[in-house]
Amino acid sequence: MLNVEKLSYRHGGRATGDRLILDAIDLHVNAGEIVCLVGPNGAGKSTLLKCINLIQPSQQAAMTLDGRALVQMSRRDLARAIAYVPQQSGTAMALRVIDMIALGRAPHRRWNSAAQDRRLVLAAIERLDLQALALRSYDELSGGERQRILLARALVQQGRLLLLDEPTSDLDLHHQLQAMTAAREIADAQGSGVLIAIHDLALASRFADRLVMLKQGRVVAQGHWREILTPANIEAVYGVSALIGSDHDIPYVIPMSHP
Amino acid sequence: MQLFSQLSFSLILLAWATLAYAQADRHSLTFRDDVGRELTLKTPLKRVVVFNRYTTEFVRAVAGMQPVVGVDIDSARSHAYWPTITPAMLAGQGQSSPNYEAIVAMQPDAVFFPRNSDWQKAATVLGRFGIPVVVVTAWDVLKHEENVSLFGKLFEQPQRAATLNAFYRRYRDLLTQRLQNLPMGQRKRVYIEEVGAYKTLLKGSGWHDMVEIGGGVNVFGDVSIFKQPSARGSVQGFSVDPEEIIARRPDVIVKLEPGQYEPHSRAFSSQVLEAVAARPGFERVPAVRSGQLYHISYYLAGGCSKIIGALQIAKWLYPDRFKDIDPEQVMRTWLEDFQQVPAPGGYTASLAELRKG
Amino acid sequence: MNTPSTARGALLHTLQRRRWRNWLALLAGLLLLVAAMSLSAALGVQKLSMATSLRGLFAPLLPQAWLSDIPRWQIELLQQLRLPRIVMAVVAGAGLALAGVAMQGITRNPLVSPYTVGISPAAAFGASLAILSGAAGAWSAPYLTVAAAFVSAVLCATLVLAFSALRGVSSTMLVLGGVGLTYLFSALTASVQFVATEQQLSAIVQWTFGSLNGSTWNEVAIAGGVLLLGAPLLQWHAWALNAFAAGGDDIAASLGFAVGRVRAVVTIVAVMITAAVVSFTGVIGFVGLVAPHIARLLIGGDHRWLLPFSAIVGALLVLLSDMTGRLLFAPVIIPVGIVVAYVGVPLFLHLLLSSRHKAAL
Repeated sequence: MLNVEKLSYRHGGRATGDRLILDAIDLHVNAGEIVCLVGPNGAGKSTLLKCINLIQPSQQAAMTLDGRALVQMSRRDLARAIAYVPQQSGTAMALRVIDMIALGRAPHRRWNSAAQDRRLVLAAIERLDLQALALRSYDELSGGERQRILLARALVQQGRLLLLDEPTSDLDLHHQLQAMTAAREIADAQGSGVLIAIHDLALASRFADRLVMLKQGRVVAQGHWREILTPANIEAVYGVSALIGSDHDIPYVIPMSHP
Repeated sequence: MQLFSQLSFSLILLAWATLAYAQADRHSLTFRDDVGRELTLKTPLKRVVVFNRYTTEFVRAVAGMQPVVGVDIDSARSHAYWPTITPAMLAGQGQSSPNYEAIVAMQPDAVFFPRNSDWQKAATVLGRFGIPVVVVTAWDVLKHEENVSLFGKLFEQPQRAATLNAFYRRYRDLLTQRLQNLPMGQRKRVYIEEVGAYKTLLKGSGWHDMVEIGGGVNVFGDVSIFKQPSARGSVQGFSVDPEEIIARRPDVIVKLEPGQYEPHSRAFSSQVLEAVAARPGFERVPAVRSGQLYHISYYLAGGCSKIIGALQIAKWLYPDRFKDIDPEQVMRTWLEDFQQVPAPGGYTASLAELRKG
Repeated sequence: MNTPSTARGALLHTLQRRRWRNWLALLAGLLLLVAAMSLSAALGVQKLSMATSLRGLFAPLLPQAWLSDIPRWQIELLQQLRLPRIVMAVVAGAGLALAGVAMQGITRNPLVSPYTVGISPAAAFGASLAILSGAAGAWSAPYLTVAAAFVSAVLCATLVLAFSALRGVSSTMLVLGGVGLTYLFSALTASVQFVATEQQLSAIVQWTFGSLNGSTWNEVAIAGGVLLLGAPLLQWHAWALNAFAAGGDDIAASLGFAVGRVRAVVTIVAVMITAAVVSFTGVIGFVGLVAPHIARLLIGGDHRWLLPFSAIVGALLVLLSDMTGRLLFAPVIIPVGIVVAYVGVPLFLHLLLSSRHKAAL
């Protein structure tokens, strides 16, 4: 469904000079599939998501969604097709939670869509357990609560492709499970492809169909966790020697020492 | 040898005599200036820097422009009115921001400041160079004769000063005389408006005084928001509610023209006065009904302590009492005789006349 | 959905109530505005009863019988002197407040006012040039001042927009460019003041105070016309403004909004409204900055409601200030630009202290 070939992004900063952030990345996400991007800080996970969403302009890339080239789509069509959840929304001005979520319907809004929009918003609120927060002001909430609200907004956007940037970093166990389960349900029920940039290897492995390991803007390995979560890969990508095991068919990776 | 000592002795004698003669030509005068400072200056003053146009006008009237070596921006700017002034004579922006370096370079015998200026600082700074600061407030109509006499003494032109004072006194007395038996209740009510719309002048402003000396009653003369002494020399007009103007029923409206020496065109005056007459609600005002709207150049009318302006206003208000007086002629005398510039004529305009054609 | 769960039903109910409450608040605001307008019309040099002033205000629409006991000149007075002034106050207040909301929304900066792009000192510069030129020619001095102020303001805004467009019309560029031009035009105006005669200087300074004295129907028509064109445009972009406020350029883009274009359009509309108002009235400060915040404290940050509510708050603020300025030291009029801060600041502080939306700013 999503096909990315040879995506490169060069960042020309005066302080740092020309840096190649992403180097000829090949990536694909199929319908109903969850793909997790893992890798160390600075590997380029967030940048990759932004390039796919055309927020950051990339050089040399052929990106297609269901056969349509992304760069040829209008902003509105793109917003209807791709839902993006950023890492953290900066200090916003006072906006109610429910209005924040309703923004996700912006690309779909028509003159007679008010009822449907309302229904979807309420459904998302229920799904993510946000009833208590619905009428509160967004900027009064904690980081974890904000993340769930952003996820709800992506939900109502009903994109074919869902891009999540570190959706669980501020959440407790209960809500981590809730968020990832919601992503799984979206993939299953709506047939959307989900691409998640995530730190937590165990959580990623639990829910993902495939993992993509990034290091310094390059794809080091991709595939099922059984294939790629090897000590050699971990050491190559993260620079630590780790203890890797599994229980109930779910892996755990515990860093032990610097090699 | 003897011849040599005789020669040198006579040379020294000659030198001493010349010096003594030169000294004998100069006197000194001790006087009090406008803020009560006691000063002693060598007279006649040969080089003066003058701030404030009214002061410069008086100096020109009494002593001519020859002693004036430095002026402020207003005098440096109006070349037609001050033809002998060159850009090099600019001594500073105005009475609140003098250019001390320029003043010192001009090496004046004295520098004149009005009292609404930064004279204290000027006195301190210029005092270090031995340049005396004299505070003279020429726009203060109440001190007219005192100021003119002082100039007469400072420039050793007592006759010219006396002539100017006589000129002023003649018309001042004339106004007082012919208006003295006019009770307050019968005096015409005047609304005086500044250049900006609906901006009038209150008590404390020299224009208010001009109206009252001319025998009029300023319709807003009873208003005083802040008890400001007339030392302020307020130029600022105050905005008033148009309804209030209508309610106070002025018999005459006097509007000040934007300030310049050259007369404004008749078309301009016509446009301005018609616009005033056409203001909403003004058709009920007695002044508009009788067409008694006047445009007056404050630049000129303010001269000679506003006596000519007052004369003009008196003539407009009470034409019968002042049938024999021609303010235009008085203005001509002031400009040509005392200010030594041609009188342009047409420094006033009346709506009634403009409408006739 | 025909049978919502109880939790969802409760939420729906609350939402419904909130919507009704917002409509009610809007209506109450409008009624308050009309009441204030009538009061302002009734008070003045001639004190009229409320009934008389209301009848006089609507005179062209009422049958002759209702007006028979009011003298002709009183109706004239209301129609030609008081009413244009009142409407101008409403137009100015609403216009500046709307422009303030728009600018704050697209720059995501609560400290921004419609003057941020430098319009106010630019307009002051234009006006001061006109005043300096003496206007002794064929031009009517007041119209020259208005035209000069307007052209100058629009020129300044164009410069800022063009400059920031080089970097993709980002909000930072707008603010920074505006700051730079503000200083430039302030210095230019100060230079003009430096060379002006005393009378011209006093006129220039007075212009910067902001005044509604002597407003005519022509002026009201022009300023009001621009407002009537611009306000619906802004309302159309309410969702876009919400998106900007929610997370900035990236998020707005990902939600399908054409960021650069929206920012340019909204800025232009805000600038036109502000320039139209300021050219006639002079600089009335404070309203554009604070009316949006007062409205936000009362009705929240959703721009669909915030825009109209800010307009009402702004109109009320300017109207009440003009009334106070007229009556306090009658017959001398204190310029409205000065009074607005005196009237608005206590109100603003009171709301800040008693507000539950502590993080609203």
